[in-house]
Amino acid sequence: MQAMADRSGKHARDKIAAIENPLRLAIVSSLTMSATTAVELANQLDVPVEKVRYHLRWLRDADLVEVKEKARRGGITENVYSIDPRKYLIRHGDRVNVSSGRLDLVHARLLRLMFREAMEAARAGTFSERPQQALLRFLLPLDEQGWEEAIAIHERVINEVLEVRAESQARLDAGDEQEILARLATLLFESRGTQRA
Amino acid sequence: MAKGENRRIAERLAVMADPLRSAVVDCLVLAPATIGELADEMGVPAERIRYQVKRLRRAGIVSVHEEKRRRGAVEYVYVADSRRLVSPGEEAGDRGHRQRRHVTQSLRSIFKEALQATQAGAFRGWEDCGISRVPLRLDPRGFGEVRQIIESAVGDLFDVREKSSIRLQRTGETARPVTTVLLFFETPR
Repeated sequence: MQAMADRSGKHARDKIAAIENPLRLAIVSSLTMSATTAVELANQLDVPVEKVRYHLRWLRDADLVEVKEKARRGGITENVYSIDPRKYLIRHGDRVNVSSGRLDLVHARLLRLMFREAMEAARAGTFSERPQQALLRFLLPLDEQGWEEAIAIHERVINEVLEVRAESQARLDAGDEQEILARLATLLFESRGTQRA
Repeated sequence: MAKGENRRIAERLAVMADPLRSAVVDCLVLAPATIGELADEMGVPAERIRYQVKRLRRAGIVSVHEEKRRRGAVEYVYVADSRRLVSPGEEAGDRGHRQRRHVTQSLRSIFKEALQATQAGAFRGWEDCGISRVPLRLDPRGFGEVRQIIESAVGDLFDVREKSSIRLQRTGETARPVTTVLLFFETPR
């Protein structure tokens, strides 16, 4: 039991370390969209392939990334890497022995990245292109039970969306459906001590 | 619109057309930062950031927020003025720009609030927060389905709020002010 707890603690710490490095985070983001090789990743991210290989090895050792298949190209066999999104998500209950200062930094980094991505979509006009997009923010004064329930609703959203994603991907791989790259971002936090609009 | 004003807008638009530059501005709109912090944040060499910050300062979008002394050297902390930003289409009087501006303004206030909450320690305990970011590759049907999931979640969150407030009235306890954010959007290619 203790060994299991240690392992999951290490896994959670690795997930945090994966976010702390910008290139690792970029690799993980790219792999969650589609499985690919080190060379393609290096092209996409415009960084030397050795750097990408180094981080892929790190991510594999941390059990966050796996080799989906081997691809042969021009007589060279290359690994095609993929990622299981459920493994990567940091969620409630991932309690770890990480200092609070380090956690604050990781959270801030993740928030800034999410903000930049959303802003990029807003500027390019894709944010508001489809009527089904969502930009929602609510203030909920809750008691303890309500807080627990709100957490459960957020977790449900993520799980259901991951299912839709898997089904969508299967349909996309099978046919000639139009592919839409999209992003879901959710936040749930206590706004105590912050200015409220 | 005056001619000079038009030219300024065009200049600012040109500045924001560069992805790295607009990323720098986005960071600095949320919170002041040094060149080193920006470079670390984006995984880009400090020299490239320095160059872009210089251009942004010339365009009047970024300014020095404060000077920090570190081991005898002066380090500048920069900040971006979101009032100086323009969105594409503004100079042409394009209608879509209003909507884009609304989106960018909402995003800024949402993430500013979240970052402040981070600094206040609201995200510290893992069990007390939730941040998730899920990249998606969807077909049109999947896109509609995600929207439905979000809608039903919103309905449920309102239910939770309602029931919480009834219980709170009964017990006289103070409520926890909770912010929830749900974003779902198509990303540019």
